[in-house]
Amino acid sequence: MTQAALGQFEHQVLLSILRRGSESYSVEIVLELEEHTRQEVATAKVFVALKRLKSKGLLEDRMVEPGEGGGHARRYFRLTDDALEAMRASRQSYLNLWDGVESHLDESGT
Amino acid sequence: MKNSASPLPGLYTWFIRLGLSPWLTARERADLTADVEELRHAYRRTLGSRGLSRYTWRQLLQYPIRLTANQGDRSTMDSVWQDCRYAARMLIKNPGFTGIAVLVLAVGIGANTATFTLMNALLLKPIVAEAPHELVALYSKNLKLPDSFRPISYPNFEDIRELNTTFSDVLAHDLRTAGLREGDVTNRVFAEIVSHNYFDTFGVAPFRGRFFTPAEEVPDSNEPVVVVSYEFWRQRGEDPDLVGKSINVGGQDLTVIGITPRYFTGRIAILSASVYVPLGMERLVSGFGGSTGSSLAERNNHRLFLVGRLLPGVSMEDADARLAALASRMEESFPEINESQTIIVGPLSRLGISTEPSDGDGLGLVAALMLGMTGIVLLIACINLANMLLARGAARRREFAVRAAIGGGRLRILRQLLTEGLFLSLLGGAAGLVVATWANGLLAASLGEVLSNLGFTMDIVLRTEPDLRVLLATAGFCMLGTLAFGLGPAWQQSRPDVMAAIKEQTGDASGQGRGGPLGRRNLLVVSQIALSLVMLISAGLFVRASLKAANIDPGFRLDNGILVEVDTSLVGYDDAQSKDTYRRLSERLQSIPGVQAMSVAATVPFGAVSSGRDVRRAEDQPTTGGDGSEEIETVRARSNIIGAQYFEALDLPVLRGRAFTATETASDAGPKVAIIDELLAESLWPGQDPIGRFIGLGRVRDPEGGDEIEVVGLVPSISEDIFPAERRPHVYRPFGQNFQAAMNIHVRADSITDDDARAAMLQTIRREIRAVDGRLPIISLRALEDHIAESASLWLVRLGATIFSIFGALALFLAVIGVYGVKAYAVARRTREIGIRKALGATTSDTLRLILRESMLVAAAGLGVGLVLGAGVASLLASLLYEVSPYDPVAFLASTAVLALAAFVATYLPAQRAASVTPVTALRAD
Repeated sequence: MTQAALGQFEHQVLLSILRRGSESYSVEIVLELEEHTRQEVATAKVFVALKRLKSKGLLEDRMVEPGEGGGHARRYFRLTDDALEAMRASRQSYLNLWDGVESHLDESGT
Repeated sequence: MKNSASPLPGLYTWFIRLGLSPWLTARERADLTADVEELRHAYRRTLGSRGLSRYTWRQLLQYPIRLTANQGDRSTMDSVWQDCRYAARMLIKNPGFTGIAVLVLAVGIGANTATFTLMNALLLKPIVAEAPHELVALYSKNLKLPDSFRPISYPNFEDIRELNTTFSDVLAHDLRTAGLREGDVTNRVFAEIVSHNYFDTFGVAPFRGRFFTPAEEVPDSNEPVVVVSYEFWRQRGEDPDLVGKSINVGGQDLTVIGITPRYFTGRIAILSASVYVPLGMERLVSGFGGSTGSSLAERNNHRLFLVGRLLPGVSMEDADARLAALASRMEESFPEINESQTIIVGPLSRLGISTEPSDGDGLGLVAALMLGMTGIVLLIACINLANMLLARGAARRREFAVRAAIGGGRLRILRQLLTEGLFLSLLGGAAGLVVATWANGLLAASLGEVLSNLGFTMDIVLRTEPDLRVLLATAGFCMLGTLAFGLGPAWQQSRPDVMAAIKEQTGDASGQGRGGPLGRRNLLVVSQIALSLVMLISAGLFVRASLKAANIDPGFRLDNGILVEVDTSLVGYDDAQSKDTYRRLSERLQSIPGVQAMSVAATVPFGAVSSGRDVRRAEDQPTTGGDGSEEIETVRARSNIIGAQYFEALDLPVLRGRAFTATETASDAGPKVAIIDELLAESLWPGQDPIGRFIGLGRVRDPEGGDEIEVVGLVPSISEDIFPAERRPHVYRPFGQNFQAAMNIHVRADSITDDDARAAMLQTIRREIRAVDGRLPIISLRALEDHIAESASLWLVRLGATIFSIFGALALFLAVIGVYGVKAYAVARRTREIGIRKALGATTSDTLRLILRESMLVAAAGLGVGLVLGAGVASLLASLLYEVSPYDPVAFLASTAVLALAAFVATYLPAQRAASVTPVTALRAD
């Protein structure tokens, strides 16, 4: 159940996790975000967003200890059902808002 | 994964961890660090090292903004810009608040920056020279006698310059005085006599013209050339054609061949000579002790100070070892002159030129003290600001609550408040910089005045314009200020109790910033009063000390005394001409009606120059110490060279024996004689009659026995300076047997009843001196009382008192503003409570008493803490106080009373206003 609408950045973070499949950790999320938004992302902002989404119950996390190849313990995040629900609602509200005005983009665009 | 030594990644991680710490657990922070590191690794692969470094910088710089930025859609720079605009608007909207806040900060930051500028110039800023750290002073040390040093003769200097393997270059110089004639006036200026490579060794190029040639350096070559200082050129209208013109120094016309670069001061800081003449012109400028009559070319005429530039890679220890070898070769060549002499190096002293290495300039304590004092002023200013911001924040609680209610994050409000704080401190810092520059200009002018009172013209190169260090320090003070006064209130205010605030229930129940005697704001008031009391006590002690010093009893009569300073060497007279001039002057001045007595004297009490000699009993034989060095017991005494009527002129009685005869003071015929004071007599022959006994001067016996001087008179002791406070032994010798060119003349008039009579007497004396010799420069002519009041040591004591009084007054001013502000605010918030009390039957005076009692309790707590702290600080000041106990009750009581009164007035006004509230107005106020 969503208490508040998703902020744009939160939406983007959740989408990045979704795009990567089931689970992702912070580094993958940052890289994913930068690749698809084509903008530099403040790393710290991602960390804060992950933490906040977790406290809202939209993310679950688990620690994965380093395997044979070395490295360090990573915190993997997974979307909860609430998250999917929130994203669906958020997407729908965008679509509703866009409905009938998409043609304006072409006029003002080029 | 290892990066180079760049601090960047560490800083970056640290920043992120610090910034996120409120949100993360320790475990999460550890994970985060690893994640950041991995991310950087990934970027290095895609961006390369340089790209990664640029990326990290971008992240680092944007980080604080991004982190605290609204999570909404607006771009972060927009929101920062919005903060700034909003802050500016808030400050403009409350001009009264802003004005007082900036004033308070300007005072705090200004005092700090001014002190720092001065300390910077005195202690930190390198002298104008290329690679100043390579420059060292050379000292000629006697191996047999402990702590015995001497200057270096020109032939020895040449040997050192030619034969050493230690320095890339060695210069020789001596600081002298010279008469500079401009029009009809001759002024005494400082002149450096220098070797031809003087400027080259410092590594400076002329601002105009050229410096000296080797030929001009050769002793007695008398090439009439002179280099003038940049200040000299500037003060004389920046004449573009000065080079090539001639100026009259020491009675001779010299051609100006060059101008030193701006800010060049030679080896010491701040003060620079006005003219530089080559060693070949040495006879033109006199030393402090007058000319010796012997040429610089003589190997036993030790007159010069040396500075060397160490070769690359040579340490001071290496230098000492190499120079010791050189010194023993020089001793072999000239055993009788260079016996037991070695050469050592030491760092250049910033404040003086001495024959012996100095162990620090003693300024460290003063610097620490002044910075400490100004630090307290800044602290008081910050506490004040914190108070003002707290009070105003309370008034803005509703605004913050509304922002919080519509979704403004706490960080955003915090950032807003810090932005406002930073704006305030930047404004305050800018104003402080102006205050500081102005204050240091005043100080430099005051310093110039005291030098000219001493009869010297010396160029003061105090660069009061801010340099990078000062700007950095100011920025530092601003940051400190913002954190100190901004963070606490900002943190508190960004946590609004939304419902209560919106309803404006601002009574006592809201719980912000109130509290009993130990409430937060009361604590601020207590600390402010305590710190102010510390400042006031320090100021009181210094003022008491300066009053004591100004009323010093020197042991001789000041009234009716007149002091004239003349120097025959400034116009180029030789010894015979000088002696003749002084003889004619004496006759002429004694014939003035109303003059009781007159006498020449080499040094004067409270003068710029004093002279000391080691005195020993002539009959003593040296004892040989364990290390083979010879020792002989001596007493250090102030030495003066005087005329026949000296003691009459100072109105001192001769206790036993006699004064000098006219023969002794006019010629060097006859046996050598001296007069000593009681202190010296008591040290040399305790409880015995010194008359008819013999003394010797210096720490070494003259094998010929020629230095035996008969004591012919005994006089009372006198004080010739403020420091040290206790009197020192004196030895007096007659002018005829010990000639020097620069002399003072003491005149005692019959009675000078008023200022007019004094002015007339001064006028007469001036006229008579002119009549004897129109060319003779009168360096100073004034009443003895004025001479002492304007002396350098009194100036120093007064300066201390002035500086501390200013700091004390600032502290008092800040404390009054602070107490008033807090009280006015606290009372206004209690309007409703007061109204209810009134409605229940309390009278106006009841209410007034209630408020005053509470306030005075807080003030008393502050005063109590302040007294304890003040006693602690006073014990640190003890060594700087002249004849005043650090626990001087007058200073302590007076400061406490002043502060208590000020606190009472600052409380009474708002309390009075509150007490006159009627129940009706109180209720309406809600």
